[in-house]
Amino acid sequence: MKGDVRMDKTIKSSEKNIETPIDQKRYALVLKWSARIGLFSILFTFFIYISGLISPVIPLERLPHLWVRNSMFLNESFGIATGWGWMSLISKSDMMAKAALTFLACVPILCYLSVLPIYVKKKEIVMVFIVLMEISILILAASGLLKVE
Amino acid sequence: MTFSKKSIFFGFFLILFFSLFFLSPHAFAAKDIILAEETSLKIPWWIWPLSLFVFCFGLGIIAVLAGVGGGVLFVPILGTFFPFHMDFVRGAGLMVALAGSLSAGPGLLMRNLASLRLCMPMALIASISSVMGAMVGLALPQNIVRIALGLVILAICFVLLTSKRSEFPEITKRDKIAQILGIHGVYYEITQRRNINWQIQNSHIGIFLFFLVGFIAGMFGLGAGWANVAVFNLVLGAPLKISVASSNFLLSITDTSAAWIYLNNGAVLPIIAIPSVVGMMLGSQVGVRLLARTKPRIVRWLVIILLSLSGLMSILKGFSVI
Repeated sequence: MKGDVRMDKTIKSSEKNIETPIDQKRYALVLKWSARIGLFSILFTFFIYISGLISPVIPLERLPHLWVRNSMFLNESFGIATGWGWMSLISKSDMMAKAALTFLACVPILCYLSVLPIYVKKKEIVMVFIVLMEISILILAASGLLKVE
Repeated sequence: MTFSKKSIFFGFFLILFFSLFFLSPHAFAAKDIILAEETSLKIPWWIWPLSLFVFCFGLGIIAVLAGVGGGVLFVPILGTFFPFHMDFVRGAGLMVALAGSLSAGPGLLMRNLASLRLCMPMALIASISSVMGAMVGLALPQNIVRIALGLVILAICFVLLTSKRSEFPEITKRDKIAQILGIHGVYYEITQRRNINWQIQNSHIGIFLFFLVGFIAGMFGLGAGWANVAVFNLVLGAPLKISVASSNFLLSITDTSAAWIYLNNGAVLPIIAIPSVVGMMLGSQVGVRLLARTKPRIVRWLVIILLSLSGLMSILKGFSVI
């Protein structure tokens, strides 16, 4: 079995000198850089948002009226579409900040996509299946098709 | 100028409890929407993100010292003491858990402490159930969510009180699923100055438990570190360090799937989520530095007391008693 062969190799590896598996290395690298970009983006867009440089969809001073009510009420009051409809308002500062948060949620999809070719190349069918299934679940969740009425 | 560890520690608790007492009258008044709106309006908008930042900074420190994820503290405490609707609290809770997990992930993976092969199958199951949980959570009325959250939090307190952890569990029978998926690994244990080989058992039970944990995490916007570690360590038999690191990494995948549901339904408000994310991340960094100088047992007890209070108050708020 492939797994056993790989374990034998790692057992033989010398102290401290443990090699990180290539799939794990690739995942970590993509995760590192995309998470950094994401975190920088949320800070940058949040600064624009609260500084008032660009106007938001929901005025900041009105938020205390609204955050006590549910998300559906807020969306209906300001015509913010659910799913990806809010992207049409991307020129507004609060939607820019939301886009940055959305990018953070995209990071695992990017990471999974990056390791898929490794498993395909190694012909690890089960892992390919797991990765494809996870990507499908994340894309389905991200698609906006799963709406709560 | 230097501060003693006691003064730093108690300073943070003072800030935390002062914030709670300052904010709680407003939250207690939030029996219905009109009152909450009135009390929320008395305070200028910018006080709220600032309070969230300070509050989450304190929570970040405590979460690290107590060895629990920030997400599990965030939702019940914020939901109880701040006047925000539970939709936004849970949406922000997931973003907090996600951001913390994303930033810790690369280091854990590169050091072989978090295992990609261990996490991927479990993440798939937990992702499916967390999406389901998120949809159920958003569809339910707020009072039902509050009552259920209170009960879950009390159950978490029980788990924290009773669960014992095993540093290097003994594997009696090698798992077939684990063999097929090649789930095993090796890491360098610095305290023993040697490499530790590990493998897992009881994958089928683990898969079932991760389904439950994912559902709860998605429904209440909780990070699931409190349960993930126990399942990895006590059920699957992974060493404690591998369990803690893999649990942390796993959150980045399972929370993402639930976070998408909240994002797509407009339940993530940047004004709540971003100060919380930044505060919690900075607090965690300080917490890591304080870790070596504090007594985790005392912090753990304080967290259990704090969580129990939040759980009880959440139930009482759900029944409109307070």
